[in-house]
Order: sequence, then C-alpha cells, then structure tokens
Amino acid sequence: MEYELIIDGEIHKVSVEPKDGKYIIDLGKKRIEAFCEIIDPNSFLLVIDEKTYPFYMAFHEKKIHLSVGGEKFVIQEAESKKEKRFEREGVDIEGKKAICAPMPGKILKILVEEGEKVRKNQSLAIVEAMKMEHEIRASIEGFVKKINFKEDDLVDTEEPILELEVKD
Amino acid sequence: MINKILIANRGEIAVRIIRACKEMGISTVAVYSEVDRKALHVQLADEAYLLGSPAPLESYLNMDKIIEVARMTKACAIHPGYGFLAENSEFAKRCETEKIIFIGPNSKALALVGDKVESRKTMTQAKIPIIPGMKAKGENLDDFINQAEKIGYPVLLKASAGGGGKGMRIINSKEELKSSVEAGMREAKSAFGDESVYLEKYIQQPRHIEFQVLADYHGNVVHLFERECSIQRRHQKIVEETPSTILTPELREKMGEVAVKVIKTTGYTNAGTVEFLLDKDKNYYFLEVNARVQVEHPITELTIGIDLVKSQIRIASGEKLTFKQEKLSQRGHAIECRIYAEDPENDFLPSFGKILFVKEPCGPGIRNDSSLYSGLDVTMHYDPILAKLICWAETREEARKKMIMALSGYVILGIKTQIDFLRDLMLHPEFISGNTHTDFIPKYLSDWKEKKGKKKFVEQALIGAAIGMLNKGKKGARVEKKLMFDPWLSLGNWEIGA
Repeated sequence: MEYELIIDGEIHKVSVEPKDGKYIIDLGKKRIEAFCEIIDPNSFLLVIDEKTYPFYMAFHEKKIHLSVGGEKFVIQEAESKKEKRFEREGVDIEGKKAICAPMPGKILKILVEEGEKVRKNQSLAIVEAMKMEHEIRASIEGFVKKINFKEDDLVDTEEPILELEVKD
Repeated sequence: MINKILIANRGEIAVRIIRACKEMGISTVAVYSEVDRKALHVQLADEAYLLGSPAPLESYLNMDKIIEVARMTKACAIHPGYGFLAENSEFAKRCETEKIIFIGPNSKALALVGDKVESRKTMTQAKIPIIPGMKAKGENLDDFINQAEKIGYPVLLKASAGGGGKGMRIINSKEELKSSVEAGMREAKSAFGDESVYLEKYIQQPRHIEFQVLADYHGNVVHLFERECSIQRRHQKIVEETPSTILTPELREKMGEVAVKVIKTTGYTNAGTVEFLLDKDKNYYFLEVNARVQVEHPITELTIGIDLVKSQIRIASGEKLTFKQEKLSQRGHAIECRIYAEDPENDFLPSFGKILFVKEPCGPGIRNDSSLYSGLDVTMHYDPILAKLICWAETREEARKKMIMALSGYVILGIKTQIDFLRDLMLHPEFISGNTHTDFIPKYLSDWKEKKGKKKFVEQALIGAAIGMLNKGKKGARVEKKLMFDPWLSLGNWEIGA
C-alpha cells in the first residue's frame, strides 16, 4: 500500500508491504525491513536493524497522533487537507475575513456593532475559557460585516464569531 | 479523630488527598460535576456524589450542596485542596458552624490573610517588608489613576481575594489602566466571586521565593524551607524547585524567620505558604500568604521528608507537630514541572479534547501527581492543569537531567500540552546556570516553536503510521480471522472513518 502522509506541512510518500511477518518499507530514498510488535492497542515496538523504537499511536478524526523517541507527531493523509473549511489567516476573494475564537469558550462581551469601522488589532470581543479572559482582536482593518453570536453564547474555534469586510 | 473526609475538589489534588487518606485509614467522599463523572478522583474515593452542572458555581463552589453531602455522608472533615473553596473564609466559617472540620486555617486567620489589602496593613504594623502599593481597595477609576501615579508605572493590578494569576495585569501607562482594571475585576469576580482589586509597584525581573509553614493549634510554628517558583507564564508558576539557587544559608534563615513571624502575627493554623519577591539586590518583600496546600507542595515533601497533606489532616484533628525547627533540613534537590493542556506556540491558550492515550513516566526519584487516563475528556470548565511531574536527585544538575528524561517519557496523545516546551526550558543555558526570574519565559522563550523539520524520528513516525494505516484498513479480514486473536482489530481508541 502506498500512502502520502503530511507531517508539519510536508508531504512524505511511504509504501509498506507485509512479507513473512515483516514489513518492507519504501521511503523513496531507501528501502527498509522492519518488524512491528504490538504491546497494547496503542503501544507498539518498531524494530529496524535490531534497534528498537517503542511508539504510541492513536487515530482520531482522520489524524494519526503518534509519539516516538520523545517526539510527538500529528500525521494526516494528503487528500484530507483539501477539506479545510476556510483559510484562517488570509482574506477570501470577496474581501471578507472570518474572526474565530482561538479556543472554545463563552463570549463575555462583544465590543463592536455591525457596520462599525474597526482598526487593525482593535478588540472585538472577549471570550472566557478556563476562568481566563482572552481578547479577540481584528487581524485586518475594515468594517464589521456580520456578528453571528451574542454575549453568553458558547463558541468553538470553527464558527466565526463575526465577519470583517475589507474597506476599499 | 477524623475518620471520614469529603474532598471538595477535582483533578490531581483530589487524587493526592484521597491517597493520603487511604494511607491513614480514613474513608473518603468525592464530589463531582456532571463532566467529571468518570474522573480519577471519583474512581478512587470510597463514595462519590454529584454536585451539579459543570459551571464551578453549580459544582465545586456550591457550598450548600457540599455541606449537604458532608452531613449526609457523616464526613467529619472537608479538605478543600487548592483553588475553588480553599481560601474562602465564608466556607471555612460555614464548616465551623456546621461542626465540620475545615482542613485549612481557622476562618479568622483565613479572612485576614485572604484579604490581601488587610494583610498588607497587618504586615506593615509588624514591620515585615512589603511592596509599595495601595493601602486600600480601589473604589473608583479616579482612585486607581491617582494611586498609580503615586506608586509610579509600571504597576501591577491584583485581585484582593485571588491567586494563580487570575485578575492580575501589568499596567504600563494611564491609557491601559481603565480596560485593565475592568477586565481584572471581571476575572476576579468570576474566579473568586469578589471583584475587589488593588495596585502595587511592579518589580522587574524578581525571583519568586516562598516558604512552606506548618502551624498547629498548640502554638507551634515551623517552616519547611523555601521553594523557588520564578518560572511563570501568565503570572502562573509552571516550574518550581528547591533549594533556590540564589539563597545563601544566612538569607534562607532570615527569610524563614520572617515567614514564621508572618504566621504568628496572623494567628494562622495548618499548612500555609508565605510568598516573597526577591529583587536583584536580594531585598525581599512579603507578597501574601497562600492559605492552602500549594500545587508545588511535593518538592518540599521530597527534600524535607514530611508528607504535607497528612500533616494538614493531623493538625486539623488537633495533634501537635512532632518535629522542631532545628531538626528540619533540606536534602538533595527537587524540581517540579506542571503539565498543562495548552499550546505553548500560541500564547499558552488552553487546548481541549479527548486524551486518546497516556503513558506516564516512572523510575527512581520520579513522582507523577496526575489525574490522567486514556479516554479522559479535558473540558473548558476548569483550570487546564493535567499533572505534575516531580524529580528528586542529590544535586540540581542530576534532578534537571532526570526531569528531561522523565518529560521525554511522558506521552499524551490527542491534545496539545507544553511538555516539549518544558523540556527545552530545562535545556536552556540560563536555567542550567540557575538564573531564573519571573520574566524568564517572556525574555528567553517567548517565540518558542516546536522543532518542526528538525525532528529526529520522522522516519520512524512515518513507518509506524504507515503500518498502522495498513492494518487499520484490513476490516475485510475480520471474518476469516474470527478465530484468531488479532490485536489490530481490537484497537480501542481507533475511530475508523470518523
């Protein structure tokens, strides 16, 4: 089987074939023979050239969470990257920008109104999570196009709290 | 004689207290909110009772309900842990009225040290050095503006009832004052139910040094030496160690004596911590008394050899301290790292979600105070502390190296933690040489990034992931292999096609 796996934004091609209780792995640059022992449903022992690498792995929402050698990896298959719902950093083609909470929480205050002009870095809302207050600031200069929530609403990181529109 | 204790807390500290009780043969009653039904403290206690919905006011701050559970279960004492009701003098008083032992200071001393403005007054009278600042709570904005001018910017805004950095803000100028005071009051209100805030002089690059004390009901007070807690993010400690690298034996003795004097002045009982700031010229200023068991108490336990939670219970039941100051000494060096569910690359914002898998380190000199298990849901309702990793060795350098090894062996899959950040902190030359101060993280590690692209084990990770995917995909093989054991098909946390 061939996989295209993304680690930290980089795509790696890996092919793996089982053979006589071993695995033949092709990483493009080199071919490796490996054993893989299962310790428990999340703990494994990878053996390459008699060197042992314990690793821990769990699958969750199309991602592989893996830890080996004290390093942590979140690995994704290449095609699922296309499903990204919207670009968090940039402004979309219509000149709109969605402002999302950086973590799920409760909206304590909305400091702007629809149609209001905002400066870059102006505070737009205050979200509370884990007893701490976090200010949500405007990442661009523009106008408040739409406010999707009101005070005391709970928000996640996906649904925009409000949308900004770039001024001409 | 205390034979049954209700633990009015959650997380690792509830687990820690339950373990102490079990060792002492005391029955335990846990309380929990709706999201904590499966929490480790509920699993470990002899009995467990639901308090209500997750919001702290409905659950772990719900005094009526907690007292009711204590009465119903005939628990003769309540241990409040840290946070929540631990420093709430009204709750301590309620317990006294209900004839339930509150395992903490008496309500009068608690009220005094808990009110930071009042305790500053008391300390001034007792000639204990304090940081210049407001003598009363701010009433209105003008009050704050005038006081800030008088003290001189930068000033530090603090919650009168607070701790743990909640409500705390550095204010550099008059322009920042209004929004900071308002935000600080809101945070103080939601965290402690009291919105009083005050200002004091902000001392730059100080060290945070605190002394552990124990005081019984028979007038005996001892200190159990210092803890240095200078490494902080968002004014909250994340690394603590003892002994401090800066204290000389003379300064240690002097500060210890002052700590004992603070406790005697306030009529304080049980375990407490006297916090000081130490400036660059080694002048120390009394900050406050933390009237509870501290998050970082284990480093004292490991170097002094006294169990602080058991001591709290013994003092609360009226026993005398069995050790004298002269008999106490520090042995070796201990470091604690707090493991939080938060993202060090993104301003330490909390990270929530399901812990898919956890493997905790162990070995000689490694202590792990945790409430983690595979499958635990980390929710937004409470402080994001997950665990405390504590290492003891004969020297600081050995303890530091042990900590690096232990952090490398701490595997938490599914949510973000700052374990890698802590490991890099342990490797920082300024930490190695002991030059720690409260601005350490902003100064040296503010732009910290995970070693993306520089990881050593990418190849192994790719191979492991590919083997995992190959075997996860063989669902079709289920029928033929029915009679054979195949662990690949019984993988608990693998959510296929989720």
